[in-house]
Amino acid sequence: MSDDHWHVLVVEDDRDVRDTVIEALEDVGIPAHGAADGAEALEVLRARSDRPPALVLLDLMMPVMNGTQFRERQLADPVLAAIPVVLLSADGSVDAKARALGTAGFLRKPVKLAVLLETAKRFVDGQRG
Amino acid sequence: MPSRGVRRRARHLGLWFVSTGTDVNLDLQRVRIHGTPRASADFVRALEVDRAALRELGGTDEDVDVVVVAPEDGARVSQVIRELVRRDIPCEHAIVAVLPDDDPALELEALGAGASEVIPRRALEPVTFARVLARLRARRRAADGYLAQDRERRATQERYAHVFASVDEGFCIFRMLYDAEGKPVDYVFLEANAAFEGQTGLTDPVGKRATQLVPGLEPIWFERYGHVATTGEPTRFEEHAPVMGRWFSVYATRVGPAERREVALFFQDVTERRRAEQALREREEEARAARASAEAERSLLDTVLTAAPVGIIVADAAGRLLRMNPANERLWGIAPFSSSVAEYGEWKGWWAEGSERQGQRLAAEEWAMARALRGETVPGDLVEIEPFGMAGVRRTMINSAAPVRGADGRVLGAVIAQMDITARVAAEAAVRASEERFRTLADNISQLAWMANERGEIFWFNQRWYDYTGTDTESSKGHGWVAVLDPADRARVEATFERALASGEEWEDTFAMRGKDGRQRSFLTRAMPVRDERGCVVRWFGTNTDVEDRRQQEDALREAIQVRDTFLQVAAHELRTPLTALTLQLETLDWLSRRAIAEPARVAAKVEMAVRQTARLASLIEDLLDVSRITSGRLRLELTELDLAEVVREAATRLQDMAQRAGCELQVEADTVVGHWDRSRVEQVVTNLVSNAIKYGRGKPVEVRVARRDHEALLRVRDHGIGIAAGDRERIFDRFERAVSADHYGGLGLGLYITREIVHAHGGRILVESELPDEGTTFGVELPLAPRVAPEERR
Repeated sequence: MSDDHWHVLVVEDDRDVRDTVIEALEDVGIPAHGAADGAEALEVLRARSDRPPALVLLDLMMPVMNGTQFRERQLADPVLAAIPVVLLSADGSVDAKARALGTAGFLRKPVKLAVLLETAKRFVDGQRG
Repeated sequence: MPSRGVRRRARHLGLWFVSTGTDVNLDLQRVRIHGTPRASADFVRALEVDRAALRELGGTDEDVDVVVVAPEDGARVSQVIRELVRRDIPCEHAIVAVLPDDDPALELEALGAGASEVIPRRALEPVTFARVLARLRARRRAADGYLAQDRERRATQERYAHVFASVDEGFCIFRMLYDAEGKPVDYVFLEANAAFEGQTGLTDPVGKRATQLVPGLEPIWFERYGHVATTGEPTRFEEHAPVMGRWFSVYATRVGPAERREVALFFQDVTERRRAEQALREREEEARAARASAEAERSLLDTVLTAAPVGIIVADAAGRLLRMNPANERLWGIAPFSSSVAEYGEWKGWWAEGSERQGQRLAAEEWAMARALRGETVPGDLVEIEPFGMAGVRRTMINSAAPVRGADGRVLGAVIAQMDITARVAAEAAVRASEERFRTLADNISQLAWMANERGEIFWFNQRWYDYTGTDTESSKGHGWVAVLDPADRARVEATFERALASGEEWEDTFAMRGKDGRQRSFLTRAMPVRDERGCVVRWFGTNTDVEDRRQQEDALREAIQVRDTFLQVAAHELRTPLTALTLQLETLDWLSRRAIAEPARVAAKVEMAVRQTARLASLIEDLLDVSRITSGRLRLELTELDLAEVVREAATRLQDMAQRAGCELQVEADTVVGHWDRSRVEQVVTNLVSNAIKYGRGKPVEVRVARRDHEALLRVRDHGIGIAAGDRERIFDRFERAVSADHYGGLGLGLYITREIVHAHGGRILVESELPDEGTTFGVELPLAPRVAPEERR
């Protein structure tokens, strides 16, 4: 896990899940970074606004600032608004919430490794390409 | 006016009235001249000549009496003649009146007064005079032939005259007078008896004309008498003479030669009789009208009696029944005409409900009729009767009676009116019973109930209303009931009620009403319109059903469903989270193993994490099972002797990793406290409280203390985290509850619930203190060292 050379930001409060996802991405060569809640994620993104990541994987249910609140603030910030976001949530209505929040897509927990990696690659390759 | 001497001598032939102009010697030997000595020289000479002529004719002049009247005295001739006739000049003496020329009226008067001949003065010549004397003499001689007969007749006449004079009946003879066309226009009286004046009110009629005596006399009299005079047919009639103001009964017959047109009248003033007859007729008419009126009254009374819907009986003073109408028969059957008050005992009657002596038989003298006969007016006795010939049948009636009094106030009899109110009494009783049943029902239903008139003014509430609201009829009736409404609802409730009143449709609304304890409860209110047979709303019947409990249950149920849904969402999230990590780890392991690039350290780390996630899942499932055990009463405690401090230390060790990850320092300060508890459950309590403190502690130190106080073990777990709002401190112990949004904090929300149930199962209690904001939370658990209550019995 590189501190400043990453393409995917994993916003997830559950440390086990966060670590697992990051590890899985890095195993396939996608450098990833973690944030425990929305507030931390905004902080990280703003610190690296010159190099926006290819993707933000966003959990919804989090302390301090939940996914919805993060997305609202992200969209309100012109520097961050364009960063693609894919929801990664156990929420039963994640599809509806993805539409409501205007995200690029959603992944339902528990997510298949292949689907997770494929999704991440698509965004990372898209950014590189 | 002739002197007495003159009259005495003028008895032979006649009496002459000669108008003269000069004062001459009137003693013309045998021709005696009476009157004013003013005969003209011509006339004297004429008389001289005449005397000579008289002698030539062989007559004597002894028989002649002459009255000489001055021309200007002519008008008095008839008066003088009448005076002579009235006195003692025998009627066989001729009276010759020499009158002024051309005065036919005066001639008529003279004739009427009794003159035998009338000579106009211009015709008075010696020869005329002599001729008249000769004629008179001839007449006289003819008369002498009938002298005896005449005398006899005269006697008869005198007797008649006497009779006529003495009778009360009026008698008169008159001569009819005609106009130029022969129409009878008047008559002149020739004779009248003494009664004439009394019968007619007319004095001195003889010589006077009828029109003179009675100006304006009706032509009918002339026509009737003229007919008699012309035809000689006697007539009898009764006629009114309006001008005279009298009625006359008349018998008229012609007398004397037809050409004299003389009529004799026998008459009587019958005005009195006619008046009496008229009065009698009027009295008879009055009597007849009175009879007719009485008859009409009687007929009316009969009709009224027949048509009257009430039984009417009329009795005389002795109590004898005189009349009964058909309605009485319908009421009583064939009732006897009792002949006295004593016999009223045969009428069966009892004082009816509502009377003072209800149920007792009426004595004869107690009947309204008997009392009316004693002068009392009976306004209305309520009596139950058994009609004649209908054993067992009962009728209820109202009896009113009044005495009939004569002009002197004496009681002449009495009348009783009896109205059958059996049906009404039965109906009233039915209504009362129905109302009684209704009230019993209405007071015993669980709802508040009320009735309003068609304008929505409430006039009745059931007992429940008063019991609940604590109001009274006075304050609630009409629109007073709105006082128990919540002021915020009042306008809306009144509007919906008004709409129902206006449309006549059922009213339904739910609103709160204040009870006597001052608390509001929610009521479902329904009101139905009650209509009459024409469909008009006559009243409203309404109920208020207490739906407060239901409302609260519904609210609770809604809330429970909400909580359940949230829980399911949270549970899914909670279960999926470790599953996510677990799945990814296992798939990665699978991937690594396929590629045979697995490094032992990485594999070990992944397996460790997988095991940890599996434990998380197991723990979640265990919590769910615990809830199920607790709610179904299957939470069993296995009590063993153990040291709470030891349990706490072990748990702290177990949670050290979690604390580290959360950046919390666990500070444990535990004295040995030994008691009898279920080890695994007490571990669960400690683990739940400490992990909660770590989870919400925001990375600040968590303090755990164990101490003993008397017969209790005390456990305190304190964090310095976000704290719990005062309003949430009870709620957090409920199932599926948490003080913070599930969006921010994971967990099933079952921990504190299970913890509390375990503590309670041990007979202990759990308390929470918190100071907001950010001052953290302290949970305190008090566990009796030896639970007093058999744990199996606790739920």
